[in-house]
Amino acid sequence: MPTDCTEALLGTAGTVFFYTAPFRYPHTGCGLLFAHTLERFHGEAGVATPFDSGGLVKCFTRPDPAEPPKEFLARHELPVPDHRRYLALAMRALFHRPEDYIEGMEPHLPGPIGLTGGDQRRWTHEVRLPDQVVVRGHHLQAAFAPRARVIGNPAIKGFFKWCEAEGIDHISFDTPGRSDFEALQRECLAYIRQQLY
Amino acid sequence: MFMRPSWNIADLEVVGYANVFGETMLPTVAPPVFRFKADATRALLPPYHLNGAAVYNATAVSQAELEELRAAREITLFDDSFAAQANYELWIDQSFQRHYQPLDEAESELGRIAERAIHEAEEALRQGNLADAERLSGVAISANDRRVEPLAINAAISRLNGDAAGERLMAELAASALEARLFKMLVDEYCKAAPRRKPAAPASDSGSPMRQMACMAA
Repeated sequence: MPTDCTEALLGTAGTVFFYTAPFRYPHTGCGLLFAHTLERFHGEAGVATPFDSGGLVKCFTRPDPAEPPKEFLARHELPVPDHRRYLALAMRALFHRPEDYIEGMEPHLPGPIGLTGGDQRRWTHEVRLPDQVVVRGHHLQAAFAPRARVIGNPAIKGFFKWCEAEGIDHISFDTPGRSDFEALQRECLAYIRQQLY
Repeated sequence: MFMRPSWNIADLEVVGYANVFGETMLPTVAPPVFRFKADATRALLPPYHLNGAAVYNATAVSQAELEELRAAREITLFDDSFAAQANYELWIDQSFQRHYQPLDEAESELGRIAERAIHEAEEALRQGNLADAERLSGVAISANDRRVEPLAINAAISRLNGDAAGERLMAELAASALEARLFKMLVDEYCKAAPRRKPAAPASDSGSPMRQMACMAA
């Protein structure tokens, strides 16, 4: 890993990254949605922040630009799964409706973190779990992939067959609007809406 | 929704696309990475919305970030660049060659590739060459993911291989486009056409099993 890459600068290399939200990292074509039980399972080893850590280096402006991103990150780390208590409060207090957090709407109050700039990832909770996370396990809630990838990629096809056999939701979709990510986001939001509200 | 500024496509050039494709993912449409003609140090990345001559909600990044994304194999950058145009589509063919054409031309070209690949996959299936039939159906659906025949060919291959889960998965994938009963009929026809099912009586070449099939709106 290059020493100047974001994960190396922040000391987050060697971890698996999750959003406690629908998919928000662009350049993503396929997605996995895990149940919250994953956090309980990995609780002691995991850590969360109320923003995307990578954005500290790439696109957010910190309240004190002189403070190194790594220190800012360390100051805002929260235990897993207890960060969800903060998230629940933030969804109620900072957004017009709690669902707005899910939908990617900007909060109407800035909150206590003090970051500016960037996009939804500025207020999206990130969970980092060390080493490896088992994908084909009982924490997996749903898998998403463009239909063409399911047909054309034997690994994805095999994975979807496993999901089908295990009774795990697996959603395939067309990508008429050029962008796999746009379609992925839309399908994930539709799925979450169906599950939650 | 979180809104960002819009940009005029006439001020932009195409320098790459926001994906890295493997052979099994081609041909396919690709979302362009744009760069400002007047400032080569700034670029625009998807997701964005293109509406005529305007680009909305793109993410503006620096040249250094572009290079980082290329190194992380998240985007592909060309060795050169060319002017962005309204209502044009960027697509990559099976030789990894890029094409930048008016939308309707690109759609027609990809449609022709899908049609040809389906025909060749059907022929491969009739000859019992299941590996080629599967590969060609992948080409067809990459070129046009609204076609249902590649799903049916895949389902037939699964059935011929005794892979019931694979056949069920294909039926699921086709459910939004074709009634289950019609999909099963189509798979039955493809299976009959394959020599493993009826070695003594090869199927007629008189036409695609899709003939006379009604397609439901998605």
